[in-house]
Amino acid sequence: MASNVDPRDARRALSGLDTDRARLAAKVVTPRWYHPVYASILAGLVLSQALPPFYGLTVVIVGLIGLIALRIAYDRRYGISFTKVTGRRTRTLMFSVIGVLVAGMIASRVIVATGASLWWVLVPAAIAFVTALVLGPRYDDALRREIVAR
Amino acid sequence: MTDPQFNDLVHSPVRLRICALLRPANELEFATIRDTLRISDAHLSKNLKLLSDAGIVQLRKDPRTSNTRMRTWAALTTEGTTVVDGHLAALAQIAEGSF
Repeated sequence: MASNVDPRDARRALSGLDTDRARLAAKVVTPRWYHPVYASILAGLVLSQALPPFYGLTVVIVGLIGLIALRIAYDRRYGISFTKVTGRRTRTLMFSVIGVLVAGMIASRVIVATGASLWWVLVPAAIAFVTALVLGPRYDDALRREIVAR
Repeated sequence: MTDPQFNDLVHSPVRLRICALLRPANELEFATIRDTLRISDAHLSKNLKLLSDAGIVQLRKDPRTSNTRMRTWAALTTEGTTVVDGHLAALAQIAEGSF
């Protein structure tokens, strides 16, 4: 069978796949509300570390449920699930956000441990919020490029 | 690097397009595949079933809620990913004239 396929037909078939992938990539458009909600949840997770244990744990659980619900809502609304990281750029961006989140949570704990004013916790929370807000659209853009390139 | 392995079932134009579309995604909903490939419901349904029967694609139905229709999601299986990667590698070799 393989030997029956003309090289020109093979090239045409592969070229058609590029068109399909470009069309799919164009559908990966995150709604305007997505990144602000995502960024708010991350900021909440950072703030949770400055709360008393019971309330802090509650905020973490609600935040994690919120992240999962956000993902499911997006998948259902758009009929596309892209949770697996496809390329180097998206992986870098994802780990950057996770890194800022973890650093922010540690910073919150340190602020509480040192007895400084709790208002300072707003600084790492704000950094986590802005990071997610800025890198989110860049992640979408990188994902679209990686879908087309695959 | 996947070994080039031509696959007759995947090589059908529509099935190849379905598989290639599913390759970078976790899952795609039936309507998303249909609209992206611009094919009919029946055509997509028939080919998804063939791919599913061959173990290349896994189909999952969302539980129906009171006011929504049931949605079907498709994903490449682990074995299916290997098959599709092998077929695409074989096609690339043919396109270069070296298969």
